[in-house]
Amino acid sequence: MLFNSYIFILFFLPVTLIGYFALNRFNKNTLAKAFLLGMSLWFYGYFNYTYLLVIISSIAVNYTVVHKMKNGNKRVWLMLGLLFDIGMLFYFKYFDFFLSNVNAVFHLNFNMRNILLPLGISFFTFQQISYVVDAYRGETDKETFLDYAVFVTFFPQLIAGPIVTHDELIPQIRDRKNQNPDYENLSKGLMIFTAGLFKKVIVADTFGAIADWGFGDIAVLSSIDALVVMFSYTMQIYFDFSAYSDMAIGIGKMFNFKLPLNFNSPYKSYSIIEFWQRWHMTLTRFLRKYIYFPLGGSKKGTIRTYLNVMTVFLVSGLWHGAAWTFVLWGALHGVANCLNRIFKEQYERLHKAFQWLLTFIFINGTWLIFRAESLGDIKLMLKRLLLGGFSMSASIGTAFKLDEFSFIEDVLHISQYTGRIRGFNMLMFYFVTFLVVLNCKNVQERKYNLTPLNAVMTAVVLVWCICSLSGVATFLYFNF
Amino acid sequence: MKGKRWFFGTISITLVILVVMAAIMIDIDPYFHYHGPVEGRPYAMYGSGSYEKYYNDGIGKHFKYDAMITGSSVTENFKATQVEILWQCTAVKTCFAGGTLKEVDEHIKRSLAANDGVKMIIRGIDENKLLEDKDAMPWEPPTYLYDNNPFNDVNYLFNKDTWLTPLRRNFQMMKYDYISTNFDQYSNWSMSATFSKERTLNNYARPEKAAQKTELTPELLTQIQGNIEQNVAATVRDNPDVTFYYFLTPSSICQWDEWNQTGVLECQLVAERMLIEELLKYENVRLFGYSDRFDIITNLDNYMDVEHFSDEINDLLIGLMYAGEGRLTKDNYMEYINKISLYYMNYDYESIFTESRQNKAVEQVEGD
Repeated sequence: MLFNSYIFILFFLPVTLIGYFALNRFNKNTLAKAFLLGMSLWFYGYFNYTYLLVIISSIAVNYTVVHKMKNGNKRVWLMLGLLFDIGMLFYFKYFDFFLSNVNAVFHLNFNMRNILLPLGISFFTFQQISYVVDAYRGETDKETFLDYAVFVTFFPQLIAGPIVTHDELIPQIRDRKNQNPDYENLSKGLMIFTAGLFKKVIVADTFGAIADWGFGDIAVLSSIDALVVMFSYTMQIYFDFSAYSDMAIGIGKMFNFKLPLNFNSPYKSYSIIEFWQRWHMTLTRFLRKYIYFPLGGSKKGTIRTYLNVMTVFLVSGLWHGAAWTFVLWGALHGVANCLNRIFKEQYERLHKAFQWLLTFIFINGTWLIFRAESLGDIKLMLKRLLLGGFSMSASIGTAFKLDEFSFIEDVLHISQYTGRIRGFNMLMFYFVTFLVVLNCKNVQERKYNLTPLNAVMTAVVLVWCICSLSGVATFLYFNF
Repeated sequence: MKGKRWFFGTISITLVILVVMAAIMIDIDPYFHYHGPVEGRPYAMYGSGSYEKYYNDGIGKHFKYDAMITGSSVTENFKATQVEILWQCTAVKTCFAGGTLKEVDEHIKRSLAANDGVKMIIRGIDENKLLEDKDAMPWEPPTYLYDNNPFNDVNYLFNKDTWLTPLRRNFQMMKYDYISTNFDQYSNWSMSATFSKERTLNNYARPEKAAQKTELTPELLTQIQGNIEQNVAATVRDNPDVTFYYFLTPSSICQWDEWNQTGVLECQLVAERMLIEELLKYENVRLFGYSDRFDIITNLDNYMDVEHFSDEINDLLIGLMYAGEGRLTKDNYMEYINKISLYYMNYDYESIFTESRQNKAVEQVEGD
């Protein structure tokens, strides 16, 4: 189920909140958790109920592994748990990629399995790997199966993160204080959710339309088109992921659960190292804790440090998708990260504006690799960027001309003026969103004052977003 | 306490706005999903093309009529008043730009199920749709407007596109007391089109000659039969009290050239014959074929591209159907098939272009 759908906003979320708090109010705490688990599983299986088999078996196996660890050979059970998790991820996400590479290298002809990727499998698998490893290290409590299952399936974070760890969520699930509605949390959660919904349906999807159009037919793009398309994808992925993180945090807050910050204004970064401290923070945290540190981190010499950094970024690339474009994207970020470390002193002597520009251009360029369907597409896009000419397709102007903007222009009788400026809506859209990206505070820095004006604003924006849901788009991070 | 008041206040404002919006949408109902036109209140049926898919179902279900004109974009320029005068009926026009046989037929079925009084359906059957898969649909239709599920109506009630375009247009119509769109105007694109040989040829990207002809395999025959049965014949059979005026839309000679170039010409002729033979089984069908009107088809000034003809041809076709001209019967259909087969299999298709090139050369010389 999508956050940006009628069924979620008008039915699922209110019913789940009311049901969960009502059951807790009558001291049916276990039933309330079971209800939350049931609703989360419905949320997950809404598109394809067969996904439920995958997630339920994953939860059951990981919980059993940890349970067995307490009395058996911890190391053996750890290995079995990791084998299961990584094996499942490999099968569902990477098996076809593996076969295609075997076919290419050895000139064989294995048939592709066309395995349907269960939504969010990378998220809940990483989450459970962290649980199994922490149990092996003796860092977990005795969780009941219900608490554990609620922790893994809790619907706001289930499909696209943040990657929440057991020690962050399970104590909150158990805490009796959290089992009654807190209207301040409900209010602030609603505001955060609404802001996220706006980012998704009004901002990200508008940029997304341009990106889809451009990447759908690269060969016809002019240089200007290619530049706009690349930049649109840079903004789309930012607002898409930021929106999902906001909505997840907002919903979590409504249930009195504090989910970790996952997205901290990443385009404000002055370096690639800083970018990865701000973008998908819970993934970076996971990779650092479970891959970088076990490999020795920065404590085994300079060369090993760079090798470890490269390993982490290659894993990050592959985590995002089973394709060589993702591997290349990860590798480039790894190299940039190493260079950033090697030339740290020289880099910091550069003017801040130049540092920011360099970082942003690098991020923008590498998103091209991330979004492209193939290495051929990347080449073609670069060719169009350099040699495509300076015209601009009418489709770009049309995509930015949202119905509501045209309506406002008509009402204010300003369309005669705005119409004279070519690409007025596009320029305004870029100007405003860029202003927000570089100047606004993130979701946890912002103050949420419960004023009447904010109540009206929240209601109006929520209705605006609800009215923009027809013809919905999915979140990019569902595929990872 | 402040949090509680703020939360319930915000939810209340949201719900009030949504309820008011729903009430307005149900009352004005620009797509006629809940009711037909309200007496004394003008309404707009906005534009042509993709919007038709939103209006047509409501028109079919909630308008008062006894005759319906339907088909793909080539039927959009028909005038309902012409049909009303000739047949003495009340007609609506509900066409689907790019509509497949399935899309149009499902619309007919839904309309007949909702309306007992329908006596006549005039439907254009595009020849180029006969070889398609029986379940082909042009694009995802707004099914929330087609079904009886009240829950998915949220897609209609809370939809900014509906609010900012058709609903707004209806408000403007009421404000300025305009006259409602009629079924001569609705979906009619003839005013904005240019019909000429030059335009037609410019719009035609002639394909390379196929290396070999498409074989009429048993699978293809089954596919054609399935398409005809599911999307044409079944509805005719299930509605014996309705008279179906079905006609094969006359595509230009460029369309026939395209079929010849791509090697499907013979398949096309066989499909046409299968359709005719199937429909002639039913008493309630008046079937018309105009592929033998070579005067129309070879005169590219009647067209804007390979298949879209001018509104003058639409007017002519209605007149011909009313007069019974071009009607196919069990006695004459083989003569018709033989005539068009002989003509199109032996036509000098190159002449379409050589003549055009000659004309261009003449124009250039005159210009110089």
